[in-house]
Amino acid sequence: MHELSIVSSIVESVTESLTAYPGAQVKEVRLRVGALASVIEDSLQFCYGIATEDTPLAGSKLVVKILPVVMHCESCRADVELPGLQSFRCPLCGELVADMRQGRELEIDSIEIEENP
Amino acid sequence: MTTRIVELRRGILKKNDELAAGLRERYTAAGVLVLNLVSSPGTGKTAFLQRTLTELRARGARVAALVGDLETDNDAQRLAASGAPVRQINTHGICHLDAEMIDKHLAGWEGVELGRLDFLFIENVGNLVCPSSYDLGERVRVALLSVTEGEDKPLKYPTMFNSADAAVITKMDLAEPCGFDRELALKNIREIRPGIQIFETSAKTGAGMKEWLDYLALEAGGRGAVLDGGTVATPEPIPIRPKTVKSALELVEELPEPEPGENEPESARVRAAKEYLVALIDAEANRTRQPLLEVERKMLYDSAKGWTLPEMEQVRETFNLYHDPAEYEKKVIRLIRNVRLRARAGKGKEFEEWTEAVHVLSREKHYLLDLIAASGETVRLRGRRRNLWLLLVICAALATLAIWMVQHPDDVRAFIPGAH
Repeated sequence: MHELSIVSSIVESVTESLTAYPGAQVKEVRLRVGALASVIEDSLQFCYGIATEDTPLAGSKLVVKILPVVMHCESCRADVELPGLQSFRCPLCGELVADMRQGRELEIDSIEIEENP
Repeated sequence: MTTRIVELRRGILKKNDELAAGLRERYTAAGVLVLNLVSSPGTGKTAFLQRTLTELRARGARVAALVGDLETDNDAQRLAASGAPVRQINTHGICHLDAEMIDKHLAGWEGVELGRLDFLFIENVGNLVCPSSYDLGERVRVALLSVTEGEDKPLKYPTMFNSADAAVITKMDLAEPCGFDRELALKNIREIRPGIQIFETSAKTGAGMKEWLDYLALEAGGRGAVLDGGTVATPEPIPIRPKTVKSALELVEELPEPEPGENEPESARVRAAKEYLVALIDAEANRTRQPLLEVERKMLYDSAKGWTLPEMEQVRETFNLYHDPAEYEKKVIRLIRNVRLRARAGKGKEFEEWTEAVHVLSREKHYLLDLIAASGETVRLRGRRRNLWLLLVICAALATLAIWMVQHPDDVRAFIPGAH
């Protein structure tokens, strides 16, 4: 539902970073999105086309990498990946786990640009 | 034409996060506890908040509320009936509140100054998805769920429930007619957010409000803790086995008194050491996203005879009522273990400071010391060691006497009357 505001932030952020590369064209924008970030990829893609119109990002591709939730299990002394979001239990020992190491990311990892020398 | 990949590694909501961090600093500086209430539309946030504001005011706390909705100021009007200052935020179509909206509405809010508030409540837009992404600088995020929504709501919206610091079940007066499975709801919430505090309430009957208000008072460092004498229909709280804390305190009972004369500087040193250790444990708890509640943090200061907080009695009482000591100790012991590992792995100085602080405490009876010992650290009790020396001296004296007696049987006989 709030994907449009997220995409607007992406456009703003990427445009800002383009000032260092005048005349460059954006080909691809790569995101890292945690499974617990409350963001749906389909909605992102849908909004992306609309929000990038008439911006330096127009026509670029949005690549979303979904990161699974990783919790630290004290009993196993290990970082474990949760198979789903229905239960915050260590898949190895079954204990409840609260120490999150990955899963809320919502960031622009990198952009691919084409420069005219 | 050349292709180039530019690493950005930038948070998409960086702007909101920075604004929220600024707000958080302002709240802390002003000493106001800020809470963000999130739920689906129709859970009863407004009714619950109205009762909370009214009761807190009756307890003498200074409260205010910001309330977000797409349109209308109906909620603000309802909340204003509590007598607290209330300001409506209309988002005009946006499905969540963000830090900028809060910042804007705090500015120029007539008659409201953060520094003169104890509590500021932010009632978010009814939506269990989007608000979870937007930090408003709050210290406590409260997720609400009503008995009419179904016990599996936390499983359906894990992102929201996992990001909450406390959960409130509303409309408990309707639990029976709705066939609400309480155990299942509690289990589902804990499955998504292990260790979360859950309050079962009814804004209509007042059930569960006392526990909720006491929690708020403790979170706010005791403000709003004074009861004005039974305006609320409150059920008796169910005490949770208060065994471990007590027994832990009794365990160290046999330690000797600190030496007279060194009490004054000693208590200042103990206080500094405790504050240092508690700050480290607290920081570790925040780092691992299992922040300690005010009462949990304060429990770390508990002591049978040594220096402790002046309000310890009240802290202990609340702790015993609402917390499970076994769970608490398990959690704290883990944190201590992590802090020590981190200190040991880091610069040598950190570990030295940790050891020194533990050493300072080891003359008196402190709960924290027990927890540290339980975490696997060898804690030498300084008082006990002195006893050991005394015991050694006595043993040596007795042994010398025995040897002398064996070597001089005649002299010994001379001491026994009638042995000639």
